[in-house]
Amino acid sequence: MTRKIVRPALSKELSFYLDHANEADDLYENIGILSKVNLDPRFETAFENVYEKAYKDLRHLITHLSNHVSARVKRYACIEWKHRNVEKEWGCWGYARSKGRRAAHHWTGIYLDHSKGLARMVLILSPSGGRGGRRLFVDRFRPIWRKKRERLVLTEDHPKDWPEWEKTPCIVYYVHELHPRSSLNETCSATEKVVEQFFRLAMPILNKMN
Amino acid sequence: MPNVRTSAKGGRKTQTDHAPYSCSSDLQLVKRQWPRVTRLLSQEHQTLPSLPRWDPLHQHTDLLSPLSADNDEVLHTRALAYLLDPVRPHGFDIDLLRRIIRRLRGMPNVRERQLNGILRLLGRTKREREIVVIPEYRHLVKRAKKQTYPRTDIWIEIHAGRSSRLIVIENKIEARESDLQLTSYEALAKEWRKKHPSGRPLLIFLTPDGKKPRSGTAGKWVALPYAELAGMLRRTWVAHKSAPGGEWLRLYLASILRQNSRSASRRASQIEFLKSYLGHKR
Repeated sequence: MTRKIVRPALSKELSFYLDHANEADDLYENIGILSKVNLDPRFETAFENVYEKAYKDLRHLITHLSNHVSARVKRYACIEWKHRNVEKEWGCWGYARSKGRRAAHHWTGIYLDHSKGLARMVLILSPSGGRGGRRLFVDRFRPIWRKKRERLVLTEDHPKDWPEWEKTPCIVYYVHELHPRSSLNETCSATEKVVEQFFRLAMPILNKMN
Repeated sequence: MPNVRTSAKGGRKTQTDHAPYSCSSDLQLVKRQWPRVTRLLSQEHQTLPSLPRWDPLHQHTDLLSPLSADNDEVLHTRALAYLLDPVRPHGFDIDLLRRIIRRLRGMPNVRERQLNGILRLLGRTKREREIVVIPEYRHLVKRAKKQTYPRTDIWIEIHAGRSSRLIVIENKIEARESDLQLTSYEALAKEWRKKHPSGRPLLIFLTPDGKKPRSGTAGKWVALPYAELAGMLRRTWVAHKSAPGGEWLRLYLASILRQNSRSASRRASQIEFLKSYLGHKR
């Protein structure tokens, strides 16, 4: 019998952090206030370990997913990821472009969202050309994508559902819900599959737009 | 509990095990004590004075978000330079500049003598002519092979009689500084000091979270978070509400607060931010 060790997409520490992000951030920055209350002496170290582990797992989740995605779609698009502010933004972004020196760069990203009490991976694209570019792409691509998957969401049309994207409007093309028992590999393969399908269909339209 | 499955290929049994990633002892301990910690945090929140309804923190309208320019570094730089320049018709005179200098007391890399020198000089200047505030100042540096044009975000010269002082503010909102950026500004400040009899230049590194610069000479730059700046802007606004630039400052302050709110930066402490904003920190 072989023993298969499953790495979860959301570790226990990360799940805990997502459920108590505001309080955990406050406590991490003001760890000195623990002296005001009589807690277990090991609490401070334990909390710091949990907090750091949560961020380490978050980084691993995002980088693992983004690296697999770019490897999977390389036949259709080159994605150059920027992993600079993963901890701060809970995600990463990059430039997607087709091959060729003069190809237009489209902004894309993978983010972990927990705004509605449920963890989910949100995959976004913002085609070059600003607001007009986004609308044109959605108009052309929506009928194709609707047949294959769910609907495309233009965040500026649904500010209440996507308040975090108010400043940087974009197109949400896939949302993958994460459950406590979702494994990293399953999440990765499901996401890769959709992203590959998306870029296979979207790149010809994006190329024609520019 | 581990799941046991029989794989289709060859009928081999596979045991799926989540155990290595189960709850750690640290996490169990944290979970046990967490209710007490949340109570403590809410008590800590209650110790902060409640902000009045008119405070810019509660404003729904602000200056930059309708323009989609919340994080536009150049706009923030120009707005700050406008507020710091006593010649501009906002009516705040040198109030904000003075507050910033006073607020830097006790911060790392700041010398008391340096601040006192600037404050003394500010008291002696004839404002219109002797305080020069230049945003995005483009310097010409001639080198053996080529010319370069380093651009300091805010360059403030204070002159009074024979004495002069220099303040350089480097504003970084999203991007980090490039490798030799701060070092080149230090060199510019040094050059300026050779021409003008002055004390040590004051170099300020302004960022949303007050992080230390990664380039530049150690111990030269003073890291200033936007929350502290927001606190100083608030106090300036409270003191000059009816000044011609009062309403503009309120809207700009609301933009800074919006930019620094938790939605903009997830890994940020709300208590910490409020303490800085209200001047309780340090």
